[in-house]
Amino acid sequence: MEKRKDSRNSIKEKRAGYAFVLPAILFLLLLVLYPLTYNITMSFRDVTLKTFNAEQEFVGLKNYVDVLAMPVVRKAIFNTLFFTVVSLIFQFVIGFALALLFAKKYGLSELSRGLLMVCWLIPVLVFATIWKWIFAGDTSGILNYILIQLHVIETPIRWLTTTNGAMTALIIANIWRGVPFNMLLLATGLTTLPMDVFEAAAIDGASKCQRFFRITIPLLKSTIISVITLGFINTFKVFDLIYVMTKGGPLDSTQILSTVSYKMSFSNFEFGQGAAVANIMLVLMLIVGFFHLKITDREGAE
Amino acid sequence: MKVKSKRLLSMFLSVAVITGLAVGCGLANPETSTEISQETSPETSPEVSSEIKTEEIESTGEKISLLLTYSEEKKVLYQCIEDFTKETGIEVEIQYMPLEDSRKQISVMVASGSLPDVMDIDNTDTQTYTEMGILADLTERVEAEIETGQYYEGVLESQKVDGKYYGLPFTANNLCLYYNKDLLEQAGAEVPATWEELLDACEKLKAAGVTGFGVAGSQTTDTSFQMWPFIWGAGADEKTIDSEQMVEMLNLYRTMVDNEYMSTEVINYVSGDNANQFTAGKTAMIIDGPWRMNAVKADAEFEWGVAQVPAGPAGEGTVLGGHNFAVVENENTDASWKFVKYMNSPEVMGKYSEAENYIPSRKDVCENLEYYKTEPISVFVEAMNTAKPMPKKNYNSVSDALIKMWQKVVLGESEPEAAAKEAAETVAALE
Amino acid sequence: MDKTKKKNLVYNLITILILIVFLFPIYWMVITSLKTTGEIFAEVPTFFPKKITLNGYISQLSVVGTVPLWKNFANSFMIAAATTLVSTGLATLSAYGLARFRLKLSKPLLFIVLVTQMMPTVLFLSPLFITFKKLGILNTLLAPVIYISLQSIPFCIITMRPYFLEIPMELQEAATIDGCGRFKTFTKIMVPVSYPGIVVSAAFTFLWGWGDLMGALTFIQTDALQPLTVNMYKAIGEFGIEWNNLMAYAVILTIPVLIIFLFLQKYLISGITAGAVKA
Repeated sequence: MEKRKDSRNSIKEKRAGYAFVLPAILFLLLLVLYPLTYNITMSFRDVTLKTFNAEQEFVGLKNYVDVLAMPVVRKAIFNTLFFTVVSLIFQFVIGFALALLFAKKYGLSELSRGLLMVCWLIPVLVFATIWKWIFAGDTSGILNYILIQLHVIETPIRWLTTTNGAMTALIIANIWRGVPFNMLLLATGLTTLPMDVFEAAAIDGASKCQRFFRITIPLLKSTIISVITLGFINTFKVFDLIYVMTKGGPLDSTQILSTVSYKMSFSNFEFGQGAAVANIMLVLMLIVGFFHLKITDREGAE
Repeated sequence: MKVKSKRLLSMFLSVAVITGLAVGCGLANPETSTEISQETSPETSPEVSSEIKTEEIESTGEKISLLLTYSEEKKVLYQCIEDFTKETGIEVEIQYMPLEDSRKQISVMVASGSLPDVMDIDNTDTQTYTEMGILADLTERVEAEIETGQYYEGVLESQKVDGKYYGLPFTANNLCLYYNKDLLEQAGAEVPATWEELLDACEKLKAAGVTGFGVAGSQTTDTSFQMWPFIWGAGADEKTIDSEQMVEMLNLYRTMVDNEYMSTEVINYVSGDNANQFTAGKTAMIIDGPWRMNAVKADAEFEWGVAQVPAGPAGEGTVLGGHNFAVVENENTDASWKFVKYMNSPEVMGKYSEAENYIPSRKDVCENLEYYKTEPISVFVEAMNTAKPMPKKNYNSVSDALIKMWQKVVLGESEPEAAAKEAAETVAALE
Repeated sequence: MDKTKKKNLVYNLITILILIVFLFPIYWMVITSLKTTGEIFAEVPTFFPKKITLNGYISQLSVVGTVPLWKNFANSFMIAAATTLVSTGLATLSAYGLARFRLKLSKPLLFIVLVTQMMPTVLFLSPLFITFKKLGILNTLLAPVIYISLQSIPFCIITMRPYFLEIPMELQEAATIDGCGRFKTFTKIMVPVSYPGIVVSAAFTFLWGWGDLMGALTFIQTDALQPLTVNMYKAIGEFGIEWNNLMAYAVILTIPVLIIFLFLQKYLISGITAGAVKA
């Protein structure tokens, strides 16, 4: 963090500072703290619909042990990581490629940078519904039609009715949404790079490839880290997309932690278990978040 | 350019701020133009009735809240509820929510103590909610004020838990086979009465290039609802999931999928999606209830008819569906009772049932209305004689297990025997 | 010269291809909304409707019964506008405080902000339901507003802080010398100077509020108070999907997004970058 020289740093000044800062922080704390403690206490108790208004037995770690033994939860942990990592890789690579392209100055570069952002801005419900429609498996599904016309496939792919197809479909939809975000951040990062370094390297005879890996990537390091961690956080949290497109199905093949937790609480009425899964998810999230903070902190200090 | 966009910007901002302010002030207390205008007061007890501001109420000063799973598209139904208010002065505040969401919502409402006074629930949910201790025991009132002899037995049975009444019937229905006459004729197929004939008809339809059969197959209770006639038709039930009969039923669907009589797309269909395929002329035969007739009548551009669900090895039969009015135990129970009783009076029941194509829960209503003697609704009336209620115990979990079993077979993820065994184990573990 | 021209041509062609791929879903939404049901399920899909029909839109206007579409539209707008107001208001103050004052606690406070941003708030639905019930704001538009704010406030703080950091110290000192109080310095100098950051935060928050589904679905029971998103979602669940109607609804939901985008494009782009990269 950069050092700033405040002329006076009296108690009055501090008070004023807190007066500015605290309303929002208190708002967040109050409204997050209660649900958080609620979820934590619930995860240690036997809370179902029948016990909701009655005495709820303290069961210790039982809910955690139970949910971790469930195949659907294990699958969901795997799915969450798989969904997140695969989405991230593709979002990042495609996003980077587009950023490099759009960083050049030519007719459509500015315009298309902006246009792509529409993908990122439209409501999740809307784009999830559109993609559900595009993926429809029978003849009315446009994606299958296009792929067949282009001779990429011969018979229609059952996107949303097979376990692998559904996961692929979700990942594709999520990549579509994530690419513009990655592209924008990286493109902006690229514009801040000092040109003279590249020119010097070109004179030294470095190839394009060398320049990319030796100069561009190291110089963009902090942007790249930001993009990846933010992407991770956003993808890890995904809920609406899956809720609208597959509801976790078919056969739980697209359940991720957030949808499993929701299903346990609201469809099976096992609130204790739902809370346990939610907390597992939070812990995973915090671990990543912690690394993110550590890294950005170090970057900032440099 | 720049100046212009700046100006637009400030316009946008000020609009947002001004409307935000205007909105923000009135936000916690929305003055909606409909009859619904409520405010919650934090210090009062958690019963629902406290949510309702008393100054709104005219005449009798009574007001009940109703959770309804039917939308305002069902105009006659909503009209009947308005009539109730006109007649009794008791206002009814309606909260609409589709069935699947209403189940979720009820659980949250239980947790926060904000249940409505009357809930329109699926008849399979009565037991669950009764066990939660939120429903009022209506036994005395039912026995004193309701002509129980006039009702279809199964319909009344689904209101009971341990011999006590926890609800009154709302809409009753069952499932039959809708068929596309034109397509069957073109393919030279008969309307099937048995499983064999069903497969036979499908084969002929396939030769004519049409998908023969369709059901709801998504992870919702629509699917299990449509499975019961076939489960029972095979001679299995919820206690004999791991049986040859169940495997036979699963094999029927397996055959359907393997021979492309039925599309695997159905596993994403709720009954409405399945019906859309039928009205679009893409599926020749579907399983559905009487309420679907309105939509089919409006949209189908072909001749169609309704027949009994094809009989399995164990004979003919269908499933009894329907919704109940459950009354929540609170100080509004008297007014709530008046409402559910009103909705059960012969004229009112006849009125909304006929308009929305449900079967009246009372036999006498059904017999006295000409409409129910005409085809195709008469087929459903006839089916009422063989319609059995679904099991009530842990219904949602049982249904979940059955659907998973069925989906695994339809998607070819599992052999019928293995799927049935797994489902049986899941259900056994619920005990 | 000729070489760069050729190069540009190639770049432009590639770009057009990319745009087609990425914008196709949006195109397909619009096209589907204009087709008849028959054409939607036709054996060979058409990329442009043979017969344009507005039925999808008209049925939205007539189907909804006693709650007219404009009412849902108004609810969506109110939720979005109020979220914008609450979040940007609180967050501007906070971002300013975190950026311009040397506070011992600013690091831990910033940490809290970052952590809340990571929270999957969808997991808080049922405890929040109980909280809102206790506060007496269940089944009011305020409930989803607060729910969305839990996500948007951290975002706004993180986005705006860099803008305040960049303001030169001299400007603040000059204002103080002119006799402006702290709050006046804030409103008269700081806010106007960091204008773009505020606009970006406001715009994003507005879009979040506009697109929110789970908040309103969970906390609002009365039809007359539902936003467009919930109505569209319920339409999927209930009758089976009628794609032209659904896509018409989707278009209606998307139009305001496009309007905001067209007007604020430049700010939006610079905004997300500022927050994400410098946070």
